Amino acid sequence: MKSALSMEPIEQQDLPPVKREGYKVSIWQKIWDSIVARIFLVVMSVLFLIPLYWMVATALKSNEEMSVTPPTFIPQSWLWENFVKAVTIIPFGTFFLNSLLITALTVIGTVVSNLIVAYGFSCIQWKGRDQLFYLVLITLFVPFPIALIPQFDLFAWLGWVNTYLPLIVPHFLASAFSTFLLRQFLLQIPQDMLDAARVDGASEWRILWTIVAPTARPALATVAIFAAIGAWNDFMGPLIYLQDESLQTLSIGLQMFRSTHDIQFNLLMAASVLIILPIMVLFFAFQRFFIKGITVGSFR
Amino acid sequence: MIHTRKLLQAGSLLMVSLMLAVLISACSMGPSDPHTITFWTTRTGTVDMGGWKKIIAGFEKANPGYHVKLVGKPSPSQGDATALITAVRGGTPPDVFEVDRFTVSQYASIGLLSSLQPLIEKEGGKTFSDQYFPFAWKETMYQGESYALPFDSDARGLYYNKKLLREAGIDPSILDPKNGPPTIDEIMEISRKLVKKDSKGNYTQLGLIPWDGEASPATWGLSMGAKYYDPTTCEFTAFEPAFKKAFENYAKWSKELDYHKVDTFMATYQPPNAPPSETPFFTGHLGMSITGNWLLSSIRDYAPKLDYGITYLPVGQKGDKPFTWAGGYALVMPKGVKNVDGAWKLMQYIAGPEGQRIYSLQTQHLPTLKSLIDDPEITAGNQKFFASMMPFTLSRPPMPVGAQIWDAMDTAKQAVLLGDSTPQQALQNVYDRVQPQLQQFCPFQLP
Amino acid sequence: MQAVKKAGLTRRERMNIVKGLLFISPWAIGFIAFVLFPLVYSLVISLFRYSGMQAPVWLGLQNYQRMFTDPLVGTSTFNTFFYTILAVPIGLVVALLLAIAMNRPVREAPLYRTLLYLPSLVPAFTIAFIFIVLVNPQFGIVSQFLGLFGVPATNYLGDPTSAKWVIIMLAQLGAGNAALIFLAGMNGIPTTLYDAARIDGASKLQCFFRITLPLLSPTILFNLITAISGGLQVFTPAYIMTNGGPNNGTLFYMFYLYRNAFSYAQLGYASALAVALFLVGMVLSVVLYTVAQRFVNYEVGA
Repeated sequence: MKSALSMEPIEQQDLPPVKREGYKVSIWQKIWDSIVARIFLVVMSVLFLIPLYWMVATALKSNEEMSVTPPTFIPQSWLWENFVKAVTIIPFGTFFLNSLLITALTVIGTVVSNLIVAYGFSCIQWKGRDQLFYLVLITLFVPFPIALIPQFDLFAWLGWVNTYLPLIVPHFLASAFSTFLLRQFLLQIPQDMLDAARVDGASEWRILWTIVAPTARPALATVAIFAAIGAWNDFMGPLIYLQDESLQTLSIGLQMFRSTHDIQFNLLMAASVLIILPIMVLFFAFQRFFIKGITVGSFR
Repeated sequence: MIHTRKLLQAGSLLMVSLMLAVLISACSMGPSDPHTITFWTTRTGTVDMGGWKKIIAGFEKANPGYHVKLVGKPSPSQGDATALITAVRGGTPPDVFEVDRFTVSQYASIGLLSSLQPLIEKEGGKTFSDQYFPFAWKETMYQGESYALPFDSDARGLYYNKKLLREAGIDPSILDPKNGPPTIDEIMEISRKLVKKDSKGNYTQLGLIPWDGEASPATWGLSMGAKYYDPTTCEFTAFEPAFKKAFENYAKWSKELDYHKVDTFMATYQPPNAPPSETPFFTGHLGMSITGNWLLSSIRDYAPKLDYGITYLPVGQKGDKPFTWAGGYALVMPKGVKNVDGAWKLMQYIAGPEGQRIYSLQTQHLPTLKSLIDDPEITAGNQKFFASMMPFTLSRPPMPVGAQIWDAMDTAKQAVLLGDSTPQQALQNVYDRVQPQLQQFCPFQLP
Repeated sequence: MQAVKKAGLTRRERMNIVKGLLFISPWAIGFIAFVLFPLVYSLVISLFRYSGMQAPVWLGLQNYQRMFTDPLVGTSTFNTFFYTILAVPIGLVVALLLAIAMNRPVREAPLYRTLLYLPSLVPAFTIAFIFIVLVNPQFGIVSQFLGLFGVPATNYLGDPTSAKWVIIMLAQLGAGNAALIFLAGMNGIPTTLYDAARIDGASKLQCFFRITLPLLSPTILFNLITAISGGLQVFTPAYIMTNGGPNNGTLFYMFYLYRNAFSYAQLGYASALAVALFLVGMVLSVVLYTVAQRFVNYEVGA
């Protein structure tokens, strides 16, 4: 494979050794860059963190403290037991495992199926491809409420109600959003490279998994994260398809902190903190895939 | 080679996932069992769920061999029947469903529910339904048949902060319910004395906000005798004098109190991260509030030291009889239920004396059975006052367009308060929204 | 191959079509089951009065005629367009800024990236309630900040127009999603281009506008179309937070549609509304996509 793939972009070869010497940046410039960058980052982070700070602060407050006006900025009591209450009052453990299962399967299905479909829409040149893609595009605009009923009818006819199947199987059949996203990335892969591989006798399937998939890692990681968050926080699907408490998910559980005339805000916030914690950890751990992306100009 | 490995990995991952999915679905599909009864509720708060679990335990003890599956189906939006519609259509309805009693007529009109009339006849017909308060039973009727068993109830009244009244030089005892219901004018007069502003002209204390809480068009309308429906013309009576007066009052009060200032006051002093049932009434910024008996448990939880009193809702003229209206929940049997016997057993238990007793004690709601209303355990403390109103409580006339009426009236109220519409225009909008829908059901009879 | 224009398809072309169709077959199945079927279903139902339960009643085009006289259709359409026209550009800019921030080569970058993305992880139910606190007239951060400029305390959720602005601002907390996509796109641009430009003496701003933006065009197009799709179908804030108020100020088209379907049991009318929404979105996206093809560069080497 190396032979066909050793085409380096001309720019890199043309780069004069000047790069090493002439591109010196002064110390002051460096300091300025990093300070400005840091200030920018800190400001933006603070802005975006305010809602989260409030979430955690509220989670620690007692019932009495929540009725105080003006509301306290820093909680006077640090009721860590609110977190314990939040997970015992609702069957948190069951909901957590259920959400986990659905999310995991959704991510797998999404990544695999959309990659395959996007490959078909971008890396193979075939007549009618771009016209057919318009159908994918318009799928984005199908209003979900009226799709709810025919879809439910379909799943009821299949006997899949009260199972996880209606929540998972559609993700194995690709979705407009993810296909569109991946396609935009895959279209940036030079055709010549793929053609060279084809000339070398590689099948499309092989090209997909050995060349395209590794290159598209940042995009795939993005698709995976979206799928994960979508499935983790999905409310409508579990609401109408899951009819057993043992099957229900965290998003339904979150609603249980609200009754007709009352919302237990502190417990709701505590539960929410616990709910986003796993994804946060996941994101933090896997973000190098977004960043350390293999740039288009340098394949293995 | 590395390529085949990746291929195999991808392929096998897919296979395993699909197999897992099918396996999971197979596990959850068990045979349906006549001794298992599925029960859905839209009230999934922790206190409510606690109540349900206790009732179910009681039922299972009284009916050995039966097992109830409790499922919470929370509904963020009011009158949202998504879960029920899809379930009934798909042939997978629950055996018993707990719904807002106000929506029963609407659900019945679109064919979502099974009529309970034949089952009620078997239990003695009128003797059965007479156990329940008339206002609650009425709401379960549609075209002469009953579709639900009324389960719990609430009631509305006027709460007042004794301390704030004294500070304004008013003797709180004039509002004692022994003196009968106060008039609207009286209350507004007291309210004016309680108004305080700060140096910038923002409100820091108010008396009564006559459009907040339960001071809805329904409340004012019913207090002035609104009928909602004219059977001779099959029309929704948007322009009847009661509603006209109510909206004219809204317009008048909005100007007098400056709606935007009040709105700011409300958003300011309603503790932002506290439950919606809390109002500035708890924090001593609001002197009076028209709201329901559910506030009692919130006071107990969040403001136990509040020095307050309760009286009847304000009426039009001095000497008018005391009045209130109630909402609440009911149990229905969706269409297509196979386990009718089990469902009916469960419904009778929950809506019967045992179930209602457990639920009322747990949640501080009022029962709908006449027999329970004088029980001192259930109607303890201030709850007694609300319970005493049950015999003459009104309810909203049950119509198949109930949800539209409520939404349209609420919007109309906002429009008038904001000054975007005149009362006449607002009522016209309500009529235009509701009447065409109601037309489809003519001829229609109220119970 | 160039000189001879054969009629019909060559063997190679036919093979490619077969391969292409095979690869997109999962999507095709999904399309038929979950898109085509519901669309046809809705189209048919929109010609009836249907509660979802009882026998449908033939209405012909009455549901569509009703849309023209229903004042709430006008209100909800206005609300949705108001939201879309504002939220889309603002959202794209915010997402771009976020992506640039996330791309800074500082050592703690992973930490910052996670922090900036965090609000997008929070369930809509929760974030709605938090935001209500933040826009509180007296204590909310927003009011305190604006108060520094002499803006009096007002209840932003109490006025139909400002309530829409609150929802637009709320949507920005989710900008992390579009930012991630921009980020992935940015990392597809070879650093060699920037190095070469720097040597040629290009300023940071020039780099941004001459290199980054054009090479980001595929992702910009994607974010634009999906943002418009999201804007036209905005639903959740109304559903969870405002219930369409005040005075129908936040009654978005999709929310009105949903209400008609599930609260008022007017499935036929809701389907008509849905068909209309779909047509508008479809035309918009097709036009945008086609026009954009001229401006979007795909292959970097080209």
